[in-house]
Amino acid sequence: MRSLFAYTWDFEAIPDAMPLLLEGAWMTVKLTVITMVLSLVLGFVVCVMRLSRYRALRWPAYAYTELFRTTPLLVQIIWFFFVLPKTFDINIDVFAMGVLALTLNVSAFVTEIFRAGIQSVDRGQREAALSTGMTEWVAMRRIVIPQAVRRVVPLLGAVWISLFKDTSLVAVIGIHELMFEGRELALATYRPVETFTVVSLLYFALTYPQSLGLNWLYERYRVVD
Amino acid sequence: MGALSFSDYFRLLIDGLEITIVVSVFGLIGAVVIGLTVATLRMSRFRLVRFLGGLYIDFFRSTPLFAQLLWLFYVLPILTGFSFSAQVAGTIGLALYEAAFFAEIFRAGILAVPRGQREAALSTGMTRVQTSRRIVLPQAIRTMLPPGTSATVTLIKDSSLVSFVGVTDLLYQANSLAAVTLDPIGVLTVAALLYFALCYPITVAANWMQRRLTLKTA
Repeated sequence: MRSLFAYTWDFEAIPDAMPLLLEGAWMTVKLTVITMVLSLVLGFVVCVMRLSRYRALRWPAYAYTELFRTTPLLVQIIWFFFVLPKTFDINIDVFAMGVLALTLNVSAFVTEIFRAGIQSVDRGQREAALSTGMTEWVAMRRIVIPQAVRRVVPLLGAVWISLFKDTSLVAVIGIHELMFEGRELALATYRPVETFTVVSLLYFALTYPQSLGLNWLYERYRVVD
Repeated sequence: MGALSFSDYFRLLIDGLEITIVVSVFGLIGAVVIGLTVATLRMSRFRLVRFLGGLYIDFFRSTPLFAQLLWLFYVLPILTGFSFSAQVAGTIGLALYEAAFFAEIFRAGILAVPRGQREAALSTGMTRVQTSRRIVLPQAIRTMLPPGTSATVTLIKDSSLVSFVGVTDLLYQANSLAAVTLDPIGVLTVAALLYFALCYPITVAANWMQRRLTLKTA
């Protein structure tokens, strides 16, 4: 501990850099919101495939979720960074690339959450609905999904928070979000300790209220079986 | 730089895979030990100790691992006066981060054991430590195993971040080879498949355990 206090802290460069860091934080928020919205849509589509009666739909959905959940997001991001320009032979904007990589990763987790939510609803509910003459789709929409939502919402909240932090990884392909700005600043000022302290605190200030919100969601949507 | 054959670069990727496994194993051991300690603090009788345990969990779960690793990489030498190899610093950072998640898993597992078990053990004259070790923990482990296993998969995947503080793990090797071989897609695809080969069996085991353990309790 002795030497941490002996170290001469110098935060002089930070105030001037603050607007840049905040701009980075705004980009982090944008990335999170856009990715989450796209992931809810894609996750729903893949979940429908995953629960389909047809093997030809079930299998690709299964392969997709397992592949994306068992490889590191960082590897996926870098992979897309190399693959996309080569495949399409054009310069794709890094922002689009980052969003695509994040979305494909997060959607795999969202799919599993949707599936777990739907399957956690008692079978009898669906069977009863079908026996009263509802079609498969109506039973799903009116009976199963409303009950599944209670279990799904808190889990989606947890995905949201981990996505918020994971957006820091797209710094490596050059998207100017908070982590990217932090790394640039550390290099420019030769003050990595101070810079990463401030960057970490900024992340904490942004994420912690969300964690508190998540705890509230867990309380509110607690399922009593 | 001459052209590397597939077997050349495959061997380098396997070298990286070894480092990834070493970092993950030590990271896991560290995360379990620290996690258990923090979970104990979090459930202490004393308010201040509980608060500190909670603070640890909240702080580490609310900042990205990427930021923590870079911070630690520069701060660790200042803090201790020693210089650390990238691999040691990376492993410590990984363990500190994942410990926060393990702590919550341990806590949930312990809280899931019915109160009566603990009270009964204490009333037969067991000490608090005996009660925890012989009665509560063995039962709690059942609840902890499935989420603990998926947290382990997350840890292995997260270990890829240490490549950005200079640890020559699987992703680091893949990145360097991507620059050299002019076949970044091939190299990264092989690296991704190696991660898959490492993590998929654990996921399957976790699913199997989940089904088995829930069946037993039901």
